[in-house]
Amino acid sequence: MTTPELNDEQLDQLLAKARDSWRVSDAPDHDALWSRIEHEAFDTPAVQPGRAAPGWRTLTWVAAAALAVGAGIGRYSAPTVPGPVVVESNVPEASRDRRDNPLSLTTSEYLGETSALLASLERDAHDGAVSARFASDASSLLSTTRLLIDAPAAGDPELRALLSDLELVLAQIARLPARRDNEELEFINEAILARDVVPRLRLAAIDYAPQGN
Amino acid sequence: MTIPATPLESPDRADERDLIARVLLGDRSAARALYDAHVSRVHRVVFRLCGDAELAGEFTQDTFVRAFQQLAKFRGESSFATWLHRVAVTTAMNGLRKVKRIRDREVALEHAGEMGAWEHGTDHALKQRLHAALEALPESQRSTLILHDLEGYTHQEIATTLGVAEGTSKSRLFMARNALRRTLADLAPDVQH
Repeated sequence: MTTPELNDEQLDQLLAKARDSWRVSDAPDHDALWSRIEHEAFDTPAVQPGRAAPGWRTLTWVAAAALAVGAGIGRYSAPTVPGPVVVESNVPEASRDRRDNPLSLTTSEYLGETSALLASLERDAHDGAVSARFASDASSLLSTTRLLIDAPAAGDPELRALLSDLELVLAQIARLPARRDNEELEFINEAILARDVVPRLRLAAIDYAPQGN
Repeated sequence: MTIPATPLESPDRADERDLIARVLLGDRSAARALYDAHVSRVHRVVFRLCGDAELAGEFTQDTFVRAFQQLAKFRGESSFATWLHRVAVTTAMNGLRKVKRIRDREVALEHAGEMGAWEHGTDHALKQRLHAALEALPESQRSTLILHDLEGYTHQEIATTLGVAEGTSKSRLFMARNALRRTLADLAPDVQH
């Protein structure tokens, strides 16, 4: 016996049933939902329009300086007396391995620049404007990303995973058309948030900060 | 396609423009009026996309928070409802990517046809089979099918909302419908020609 075919018309009839029966919500409690909306939309201070924000290259220097200070504080505040074996053998060695990586300086600079670009991008998404420079800078960083992914020295699995995510994000930014009210920009920022790119980027930047900074 | 599109227009656009202008001046009662006019429809679409009451509530709230915060960007080129629904779908789809537990609810497509004791001719059993088959679709296909076939979005609207090409939306719908046709083939005698 052959299995009967389900034609388009029959499928549409089934979907009409689904429309009335599948994932049909009860009416939401309007007041309960509203309280959080009102608080977050109206009680949270908005970014002041018209206040000039620093360019992302400025932010690169700020990020680099913050990293240097952070790495310095970390180094000088580390206990001089040997601590428990697990502390000595795990975390610091991982960081040392990363700093010993021959590409660590390039990686560190790249991570700082990418971090600053993404911070700038997030800020500009609120303003709805995209400068053409974003695309060209992202394109340049994308080349570095690919070089780092292909480099034999880039064996750190966490870094490789981060680089793969950054490759996707930077490729999207590199294709962004320059215009105001750019909704694609918002979409990219959502993806950055969903993949926790920025916190991972900051951690990696600290790990790869060169010694002596 | 026999399923009619569901219009996203709201009844009185002039009043709505006035409400939007007042919200931009910080009038919370105007914001509440806009919210009351649209919350049920937004919640319905979001619930359809996520299938979870708690998440639907969160995504609905996130939608309105974002919409009010970005209201200055709404320039009236489309209706407010269309703009708001784009925000809602984007919010829900991005939120869903973060929520792994939804995937745990999915049933492998090959098993969807075997779900439950199938009693031919019973409307309840037919719906159970249909719902299981819809749950078993891959998320990208299911969301496209929901928006197009159940919520009446055009491929162009889906493409813009989900950030994909219009052709991608069409091919995802084609794959989703083919998968349902295959999975539910044995229901053919129970559905009128």
